[in-house]
Amino acid sequence: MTIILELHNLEFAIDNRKILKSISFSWEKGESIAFIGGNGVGKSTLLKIIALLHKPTGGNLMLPDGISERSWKNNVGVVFPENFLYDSLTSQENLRFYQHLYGKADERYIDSLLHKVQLGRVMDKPVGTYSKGMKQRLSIARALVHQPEYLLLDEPFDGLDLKSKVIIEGMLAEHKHLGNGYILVSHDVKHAFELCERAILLHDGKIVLNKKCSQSSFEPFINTYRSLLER
Amino acid sequence: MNFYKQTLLILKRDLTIEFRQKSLLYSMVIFALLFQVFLNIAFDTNLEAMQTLAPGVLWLPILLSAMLGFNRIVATEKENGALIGLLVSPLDKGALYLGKLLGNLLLVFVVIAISVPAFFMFVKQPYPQSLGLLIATLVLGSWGFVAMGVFLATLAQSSRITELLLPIMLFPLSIPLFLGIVQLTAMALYPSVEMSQNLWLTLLVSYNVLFTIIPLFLFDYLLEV
Repeated sequence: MTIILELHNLEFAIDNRKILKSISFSWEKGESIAFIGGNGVGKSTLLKIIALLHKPTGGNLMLPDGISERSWKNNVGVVFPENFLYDSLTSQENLRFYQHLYGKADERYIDSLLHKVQLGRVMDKPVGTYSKGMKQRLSIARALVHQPEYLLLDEPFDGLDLKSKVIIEGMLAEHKHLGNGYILVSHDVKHAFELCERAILLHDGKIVLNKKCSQSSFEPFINTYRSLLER
Repeated sequence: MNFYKQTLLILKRDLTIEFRQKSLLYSMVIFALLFQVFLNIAFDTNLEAMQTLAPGVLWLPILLSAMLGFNRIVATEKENGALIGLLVSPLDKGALYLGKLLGNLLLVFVVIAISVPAFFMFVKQPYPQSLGLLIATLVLGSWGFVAMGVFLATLAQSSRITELLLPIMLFPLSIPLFLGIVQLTAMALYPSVEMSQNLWLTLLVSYNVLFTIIPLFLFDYLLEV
């Protein structure tokens, strides 16, 4: 398998407080990984480092040979708790802006994405009038609008109704089916195991477990997670 | 996508948002006009002393209304974490600066187009002897002020006291610019004023070049603060 990203003893600190300690793992092409852990263990920070939003204060983040930071950014789509959308623009205008930002222009793809996230009928309405679920679905469409190979998703299902969850799961399945990968940050171990091939458990800024997702690994994984939360 | 296209993309986004909301442009224009009225009441505009007051009376409403736009620069990028969306993209940060500069400058030009005729109407000044110099001063002066304003508004954005920090940094750094525009405006309005026009024009152009080019290179670091 081709490795698309490798982290070696990566560290991140703010004001001498270590948020991430000695993080090492590799991400293979087309692989889906879940970062699991309680609040404040460094999952979102790790995702931001992978998105090249923060620079690590120690260790290495290695991209494959010939891949610059710019081309990595071109090939990554990001869904963070902030949806990055402009409330006064319509969903179509938001997607068009972000698509152009990545140097692409494909109106038909925008229309097809909006229909996939079931926002086709409201595509001319300002995003400020949308519900939270609609904005989150649009945020997924925004992350996919430049057709990236890799997605970084920070709790994309948080606070969503069943309809929005099913739509986003469908989008992720289709992304995976095309041979692309994603990293999903989640609190929900069961859901993460359903959606990902590998799960990484983080605690206190360190990787505690790094396991393939399977029925046999689920019980030991969730037991370890529970014991860490009870500490 | 090249730098030029990225700049236009940011400019188009900012103008689309602004012309959809219209609140900022209306606020800037109304503020500038009200300020003109206030200054007209405050000073006896028929006095000879107006010869020294006129450049300030012309410029103050423009510069202060331009400041209303600087805080909006920060607000647009803070909306739903939009700035993060730009930082994780391959956007050249210099293009973000230049796009925002041009967007704000266009709004200031609209204010100038309304405020300057109002100045001549309220203050009952004779029309400028050197219209070309006045237009050049208006363009260069507003460019310099907006360039500095966009730069400092971004610098102050991570602070919890952005609104306070901005004028504290902006006014001292704008003193050379203000000196230049006041002198050149006086020369444009009253040709009898004898001063070195080239010296002040050079100062203005140098200021603009400096505070347009420096942020282009520093903006990347600035956004990491």
